[in-house]
Amino acid sequence: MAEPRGFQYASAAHETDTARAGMWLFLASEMLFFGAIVYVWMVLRITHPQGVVLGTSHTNLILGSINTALLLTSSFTLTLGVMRARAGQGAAAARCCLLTAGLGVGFLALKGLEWGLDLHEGLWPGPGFAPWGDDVGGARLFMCFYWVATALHGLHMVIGVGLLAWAARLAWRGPMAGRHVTAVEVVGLYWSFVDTVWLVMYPLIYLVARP
Amino acid sequence: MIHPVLAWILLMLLLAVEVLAALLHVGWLAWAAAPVMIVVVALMFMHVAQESPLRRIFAITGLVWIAILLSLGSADFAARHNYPAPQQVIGVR
Repeated sequence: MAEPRGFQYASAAHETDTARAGMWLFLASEMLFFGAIVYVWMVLRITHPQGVVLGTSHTNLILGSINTALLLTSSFTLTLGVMRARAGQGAAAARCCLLTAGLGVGFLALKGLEWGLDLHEGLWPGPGFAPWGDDVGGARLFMCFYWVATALHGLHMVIGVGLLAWAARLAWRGPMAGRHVTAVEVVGLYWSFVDTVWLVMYPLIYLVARP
Repeated sequence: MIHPVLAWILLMLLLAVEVLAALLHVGWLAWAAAPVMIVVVALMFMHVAQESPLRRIFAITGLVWIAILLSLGSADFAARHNYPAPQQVIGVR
């Protein structure tokens, strides 16, 4: 039985190799993309140390930590999905993908709640910015970093949820072989990478400069 | 290969360590836990060690690029305090 594969590939293994390599190359470029945001934090930490402390003191540690736990759990459930996909169990793999997507939606919902609380608290770096004192300029810059970093990470999560739905559909319809397994694997790489991005952002936003 | 459940338990413990370190103001511990968590995710969930050499090179290349970005990029800001520019006023926030 021929495994499902793209016409340009000699074999399903060839397609898997190409797809995984392509995803890793994309992730390498994503490391630089998010690296620039980490760089902004480093510069702020050096140039406005007290402003970063003031900004961090206003972030919501409880919601941030729950979200980190959700994201780590979602990476775990998707790893189970990849194992199921490799074992040829399409329905189980699809369920793992959907469970992962659900945890991702949970993350986004909590993030939305947190953003709402932040806006209510006056943490948008515009008119009516609530934190005050000598270090308010640095705190404003820290909040710029916070909104850009969490929004871009959230965008990646939204894309990831869409990719998970697509992989789940492929796994559900089957056959659970060839490019359908590759789809789950490659989406798994992307999702775990977005997880590691959050593992970098989480200490920068909530922990390191907490007074 | 270690089962993903063990990796998940380890990650949850490390997350607890991170939060405690932040609450107890043990700064270095919050710093140290994050890279360990990333390594656990990369090895246990992304299976970096089982990848082909080409794909491992892609992954490592990303880390090398980011090291160049952060180290060269922050060199000026890190040294500026020790070697101020003539027009620079030290202590201005």
